[in-house]
Amino acid sequence: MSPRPAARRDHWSALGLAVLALGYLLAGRRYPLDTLATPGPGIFPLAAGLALLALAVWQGLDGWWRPAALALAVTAASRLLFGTWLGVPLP
Amino acid sequence: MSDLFVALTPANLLACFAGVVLGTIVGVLPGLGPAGAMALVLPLTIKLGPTAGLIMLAGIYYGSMYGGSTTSILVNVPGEAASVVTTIDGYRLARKGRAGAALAIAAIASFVAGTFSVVALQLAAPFVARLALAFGPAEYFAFALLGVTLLANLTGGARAKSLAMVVAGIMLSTVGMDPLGGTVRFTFDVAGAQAGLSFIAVTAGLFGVAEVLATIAAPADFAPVARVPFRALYPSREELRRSVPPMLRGTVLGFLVGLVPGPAATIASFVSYGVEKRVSRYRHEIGTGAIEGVAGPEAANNAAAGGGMIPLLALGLPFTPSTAVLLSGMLLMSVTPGPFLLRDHPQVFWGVIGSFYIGNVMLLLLNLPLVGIFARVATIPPRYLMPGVLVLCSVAAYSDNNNAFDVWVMVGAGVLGYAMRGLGYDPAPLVLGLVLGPVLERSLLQALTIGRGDPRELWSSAPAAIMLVATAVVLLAPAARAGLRLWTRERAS
Repeated sequence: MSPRPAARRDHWSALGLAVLALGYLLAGRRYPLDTLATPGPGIFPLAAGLALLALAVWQGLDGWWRPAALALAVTAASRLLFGTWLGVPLP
Repeated sequence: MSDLFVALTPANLLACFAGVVLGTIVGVLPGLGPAGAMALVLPLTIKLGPTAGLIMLAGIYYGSMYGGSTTSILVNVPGEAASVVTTIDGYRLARKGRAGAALAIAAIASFVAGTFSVVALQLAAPFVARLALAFGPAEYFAFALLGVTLLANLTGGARAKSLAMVVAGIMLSTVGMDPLGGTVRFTFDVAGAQAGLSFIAVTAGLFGVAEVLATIAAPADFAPVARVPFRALYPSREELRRSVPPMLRGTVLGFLVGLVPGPAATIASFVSYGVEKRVSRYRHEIGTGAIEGVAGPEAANNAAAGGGMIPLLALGLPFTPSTAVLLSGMLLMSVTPGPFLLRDHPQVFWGVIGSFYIGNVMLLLLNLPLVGIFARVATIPPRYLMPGVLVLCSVAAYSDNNNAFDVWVMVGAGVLGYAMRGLGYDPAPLVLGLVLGPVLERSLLQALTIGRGDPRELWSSAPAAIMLVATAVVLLAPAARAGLRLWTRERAS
């Protein structure tokens, strides 16, 4: 069965947003990131571009893919926060 | 306290009247904006003396908040940034033939909120200004982040779509000079883009031009509003009753948001709309032309305008372009705002406060009788109205910086807005991102610099940490709920 027109439209618009985010990230590569202590002009556009890319991917997913992606993202973020950053020993 | 009556002298009454009339006109016409209008009349107000001059400038400031709703409701073109959210339900009410009711409720809500904020300003200025001072870059970043996350679900559409539009707006806000280092970004060597994308041009395009394109594309969908009898121009008892709770909520909320540095009136109107969508008894109607969607935001932006005066008068700190012009006016008139204003210039302080009461009454008396005249605009057939809207948008876009590039931005935003409608995206979150983008960037980079690159600086204080946790909860809770629902359904089947 083919997807509903609204769902198909959402997939196409998600693809458009992803292309926009990638184009923005590519254009933003020319601005230096510098360091976190002295953040450069490229750091905020990088964060914004990645956020839009993540949202575009999220919008393009449906069914079980969404909770699976969310679980994966939360696991990766927790690993980064507790394991890498705060140094809490994880099982 | 007897200095409060200084506002009643004929010269001050006249200055107040001239200010509120000019402010209403500025609010009705998109483009110039209150700060621009105040800057234009600044030389004249210096000649009037400090009290009358500042009363006139303040009148323009809060008068524009009243007038800003008029074009939002009638032609879907916000008069100024704080009225963007009013277009959502206001314009739909106008299409239903309730333009008069929406305009009247907007005027009444503005009056109630304006009066409340003056009373609160008078009583609470010293205390609340101290609270607002406690906001550093980290708290401000957390507050703005929580704000955009909460408000991303403004129109009741898909949360991911709204969040994507907020981020797209933030991305648009990065065009031009970066707020800290001054590096020019994403201009692609177009000289006109160096100052950034004009907010007015983007808004006029997304709302006004997109509306014109939609009317051209589907002329049959545009049913001109039938002329209604005079009595029906005003709100019914039911509409008045339904407006009271959102008006009160918007008033308190707007005043509190007004204390926080930034585009308070705009943020307050969006916050109020978001709150109404969650707590109103008629929340299912909001977005389809509900009076609550006009009463709450209109009350909030006027209350925020009053709240925004506290840091200016009590501390001498302007947080909006309009209060910055007011500060320059004070300094030019040898009046230094701050803790000693009350001691050194009691007549100026109380005279300006007193004029707020009088100005709010004047605005109500001015706006209510004009409702009938304004509401007739909605009955004009689109073949006459839409070219006018297009001219209005073009003039607004061009006059912002006297820059032809902004007119092209408006056209681009118009096409984008039209496409967004077709794909089910609402432009309001994008506008919010455009406004809050520089605030988020500046506060994030400042916090990182203060913390010497340690991101923990972002949640080093209790208020910032609480707001960031709340942001995470707001972001993750709906997805977790949806996942749980899906899991339960799968198990059941």
